[in-house]
Amino acid sequence: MSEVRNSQPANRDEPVLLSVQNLQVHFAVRGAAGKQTVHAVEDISFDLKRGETLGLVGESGSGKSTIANALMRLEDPTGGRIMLEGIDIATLRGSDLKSVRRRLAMVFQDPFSALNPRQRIGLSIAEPLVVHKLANGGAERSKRVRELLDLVNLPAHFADRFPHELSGGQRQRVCIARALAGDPDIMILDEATASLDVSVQAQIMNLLKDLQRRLGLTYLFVSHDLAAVEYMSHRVLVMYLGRLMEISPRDELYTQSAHPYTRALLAAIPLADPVAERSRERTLLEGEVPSPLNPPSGCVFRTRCPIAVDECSEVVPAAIEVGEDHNSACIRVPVAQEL
Amino acid sequence: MSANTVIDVQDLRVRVGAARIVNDVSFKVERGQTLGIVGESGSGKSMTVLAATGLIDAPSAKVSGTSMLDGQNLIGLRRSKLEKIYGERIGFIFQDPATSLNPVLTLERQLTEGPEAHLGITRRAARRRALDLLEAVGIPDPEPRLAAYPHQLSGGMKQRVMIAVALACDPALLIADEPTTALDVTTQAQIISLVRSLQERLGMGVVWISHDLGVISGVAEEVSVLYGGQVVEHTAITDIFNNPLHPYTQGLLRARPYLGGAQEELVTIPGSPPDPKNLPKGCVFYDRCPVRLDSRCETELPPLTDVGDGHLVRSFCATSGGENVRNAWEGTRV
Ligand SMILES: Nc1ncnc2c1ncn2[C@@H]1O[C@H](COP(=O)(O)OP(=O)(O)OP(=O)(O)O)[C@@H](O)[C@H]1O
Ligand SMILES: [Mg+2]
Repeated sequence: MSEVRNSQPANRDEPVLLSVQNLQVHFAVRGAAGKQTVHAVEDISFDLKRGETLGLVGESGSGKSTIANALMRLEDPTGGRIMLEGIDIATLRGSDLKSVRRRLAMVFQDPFSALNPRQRIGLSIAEPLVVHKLANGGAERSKRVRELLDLVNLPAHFADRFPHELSGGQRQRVCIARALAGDPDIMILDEATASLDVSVQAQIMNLLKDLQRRLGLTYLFVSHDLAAVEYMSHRVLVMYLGRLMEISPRDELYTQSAHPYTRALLAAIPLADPVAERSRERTLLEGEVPSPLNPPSGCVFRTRCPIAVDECSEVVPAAIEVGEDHNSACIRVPVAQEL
Repeated sequence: MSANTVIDVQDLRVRVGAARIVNDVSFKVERGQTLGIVGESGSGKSMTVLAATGLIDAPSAKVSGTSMLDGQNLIGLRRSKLEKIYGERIGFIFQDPATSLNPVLTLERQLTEGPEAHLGITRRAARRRALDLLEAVGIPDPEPRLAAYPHQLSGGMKQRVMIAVALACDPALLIADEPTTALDVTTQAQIISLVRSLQERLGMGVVWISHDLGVISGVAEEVSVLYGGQVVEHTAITDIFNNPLHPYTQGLLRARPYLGGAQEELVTIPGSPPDPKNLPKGCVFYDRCPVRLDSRCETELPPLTDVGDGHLVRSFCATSGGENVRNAWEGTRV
């Protein structure tokens, strides 16, 4: 580990801002077999501490966006609690929900569809100001829009432009500016850099880090890209088929993972060193993720797990503590650590 | 052209209206070798291989240059001859399997059609071959799958079937255009190791296009870096990582987080790639280059120069800029 990495602020002692407890999101669907249930998110718990970035990783369909949407209340949880400084926002309605909503903001993957093509950039950014009545009159609103554009390193005259006149990276900056307009505490970034080119991705990730330092923001950084998550996060939560597999401070996760699924994910990432990449010994996961309509009993990962035993089909493993702040939902942790 | 060369492309250019999409691109692929082509969106990666294989036939597109395969120039070749060549000699796999799988044909039909027509084998032999292929691409218990239609398969499975179809006639050349970009890392790793092992067995040449240098690091022996429709650097895969010379390549390598990368700050290349309708007169990277030299970089197109051992680079900075060019991005920030 280099010194550079340790210069990340330690957030262990920061207060908990948001506490997700046993979150469950089920979707009822109608299929060939009649009415069925998609187990999108099952019994997920984690805390967000003020000023930290929690990375949320997992393969497609593992439930990352469903968690993000549930926190934003774009999706209604079917169980569990989402405590924002003592208030359960999972069940809030009406004006209570609206006032709490200002404190969380979301940035999506696709900056092309996220902006109204017929609306000037300035107006898009001002939307939250209007909704939450955060600016008195046009002059104050324009001033705030200019400040927000400046925060994301865009010139003030962009306020008069239309989305189609902007590049993908510029549009994502606009989306970030709009998310910041309500002066939120928590930003939920759902694959916010995934659709951008490599060089532009770096601009946006650096911008996000910079904003976090300056504004004390708390991030949930949702991504399927483990390298991007490593770059952005202080802690990382790994999920599979709707369930938490492992949650850990970043460096421990990447160097001393205690879960076979995390280990398999890490083994699948190509290394930047072609010689090491070709000579590396690794076991690749076989097969595919089972259907969320009918997840395996016990540990949901057991059907693809290289170290599964009979017992794994019997009980859902609890997330046991394996280190400071580091939990793994596996009954074979010592074996997993040897993988 | 050596006996082992599968395809030899020289001075390829593609124009669509005023847009100069591919500009003077040359490459060769040998039997059993993989050429990686990397570049960001709009750099001309896909257009390069589409043009090189004769697949661009829009009346508005102008393609020039040569692309020799089996002694024939694919550029400007008659459609009927091209189709025979696709059937027998070139396999394609794309990012989106929907573009190359036929939604209304069963897997059996898609896998046997080519071999029956081009290898002159019986339906029964073709069926046996289809089963072998499905097994080879990692579809367990393939027999009952033969009657399935593409929509009945998951994304990863479709990708495997597409590879099986692409390999059905033992092609000499496989074109893989971002075949793993839409897939999860675990499936991506499966597909990469699959293509590599099939390549070892069948000895085909592969052109693998990706925006991800990490993927290219695992598949290619040589790599061409495309920017603004030009090859700005070409060399052995180890060289690209250990000794990148073009400031763009260096930036690309340092703009991306790597696992265990220990980066505090990613390099950000300012601005965005050039507009093919309005390419700069000199170096294509001039606007964004942190070490550009004098007016020469701005006004004169640098030639693709061999700096030794077949390491090619198109940059005045790299060929005459001295030592600081190895660290073009040192000290730059945001
Ligand atoms: N409205 C819905 N109705 C039914 N099923 C849904 C709905 N939304 C999501 N799902 C299902 O819930 C599961 C979790 O989906 P989710 O979008 O949260 O995954 P994800 O981890 O964000 O995946 P990706 O990486 O592809 O974005 C999937 O099986 C998905 O098909
Ligand atoms: Mg998602």
